Amino acid sequence: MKRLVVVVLILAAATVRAQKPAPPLALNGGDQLMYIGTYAGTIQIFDEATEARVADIKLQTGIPRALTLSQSRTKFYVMDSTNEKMEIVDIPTRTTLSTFTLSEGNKKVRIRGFQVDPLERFLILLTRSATKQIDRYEIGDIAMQFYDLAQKKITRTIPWPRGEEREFVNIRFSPDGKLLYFFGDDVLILETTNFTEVDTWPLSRPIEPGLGRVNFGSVDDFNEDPGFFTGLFTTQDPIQNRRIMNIGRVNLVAKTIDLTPIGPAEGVSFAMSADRKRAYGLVQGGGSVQAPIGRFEFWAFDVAQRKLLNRTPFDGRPRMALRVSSNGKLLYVYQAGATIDVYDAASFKKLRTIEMNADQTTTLYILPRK
Amino acid sequence: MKHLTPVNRKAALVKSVTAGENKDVVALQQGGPPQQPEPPHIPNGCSLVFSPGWEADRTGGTAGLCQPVERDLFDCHMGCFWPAQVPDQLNHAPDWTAKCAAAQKDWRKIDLIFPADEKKK
Repeated sequence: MKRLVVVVLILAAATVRAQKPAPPLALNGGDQLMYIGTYAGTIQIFDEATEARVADIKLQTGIPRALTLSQSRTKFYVMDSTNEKMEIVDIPTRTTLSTFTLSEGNKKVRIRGFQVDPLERFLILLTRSATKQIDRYEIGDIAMQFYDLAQKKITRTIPWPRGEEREFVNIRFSPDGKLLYFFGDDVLILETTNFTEVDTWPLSRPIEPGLGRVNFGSVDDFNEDPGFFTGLFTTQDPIQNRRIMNIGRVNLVAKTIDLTPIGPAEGVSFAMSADRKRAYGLVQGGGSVQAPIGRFEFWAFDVAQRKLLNRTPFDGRPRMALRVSSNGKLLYVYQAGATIDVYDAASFKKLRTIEMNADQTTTLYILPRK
Repeated sequence: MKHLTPVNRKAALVKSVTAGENKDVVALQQGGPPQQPEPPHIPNGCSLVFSPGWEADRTGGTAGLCQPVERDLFDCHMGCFWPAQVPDQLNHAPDWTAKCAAAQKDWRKIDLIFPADEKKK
């Protein structure tokens, strides 16, 4: 009997220990939460301090393909893996607010892309339909649709600016939601009431004579003010026939780009820290002379001083995305698979790997607990 | 610049380049330099994609392949990247991987789909 009591007590103690939250890691990424969509049809939530999974948000539309964060940072707009269904998730309560699809009957409407109004009054959806007939599919025109979030339906089709139909569009909103920036050869600026053109930003012209065109490479707006983008930009030097990498910041409302050249252009990603003082990039060799297969590098940028600090080779993995931890001390390397590799942002040494129980399907977001 | 006349080849090149600069910017494009032309339109549906198979990535090389290959299975599958080797999840086999959320860990749970099964759906 005494032995049984001892066993019960040991088991009880073990259970209590198991229920206690894991202590924060000595070198952790901060005190925020990490959100990432998975192939299990969930958004998994990890605690940055312990790197333990703390919750799942089960999605009603199945496997997510894209998570878009609202400007208020309180909702995720989720597109499913079939590009047919959208789901709106409330982040604080971790619940689904609504779902919708534009498909019905034998007509499939695939949503090829979308943008959320900063004030969350509407979505702009880029759609194309396929209607199954008895002997064929009828493919519809590609269209920009206005989805009214209050009425929960498409209320109109937005005419293509200047009548130029596009297969892919890049659109952004001004922070107040009054203007829409339609990126093409130039940036066409439309008001968001009747979607008429009110201004143009002639980006196709060089910002300085002889400088050549500006190409937006990798930009990061996650840790930026609304309406601003910081990132790497390429300018073409037509005289020397070379491409120059710049660190730059775009002010969408003022229609300005502030560029600082830092060296020859290379394919490198860009992820900025929350304090906007540092940024990091990843290089993955694709087999060219400059970037042979197996070459993986971390790049560190001083955003305030606008310069490249260092390039550090490391044992990377094919297909990588990068996010800086909330306190700027760690780097999360993720994408493709069920692991997030954690690196020290100072030494670029690999510290550990966060194991997930499902493959990742979306961008990783890091948000405050409340 | 109208009051200046180029007197050597480099100056003439500068003039010709600055005069000829016009619309060809593609802004906010992800993926890094150089600028890429607009990709061809590919309707959604895996049978319409003709990417290479497991052995090669989209550039024809191997650098873009994950190791082990299972780590990349789902991401490429959803993007119709390996259409010939996997069932068409958009149209015929949406539940192909319903019992397996992490391909590298439990790929044995992935269903077998035969052409006859696809025809029934």
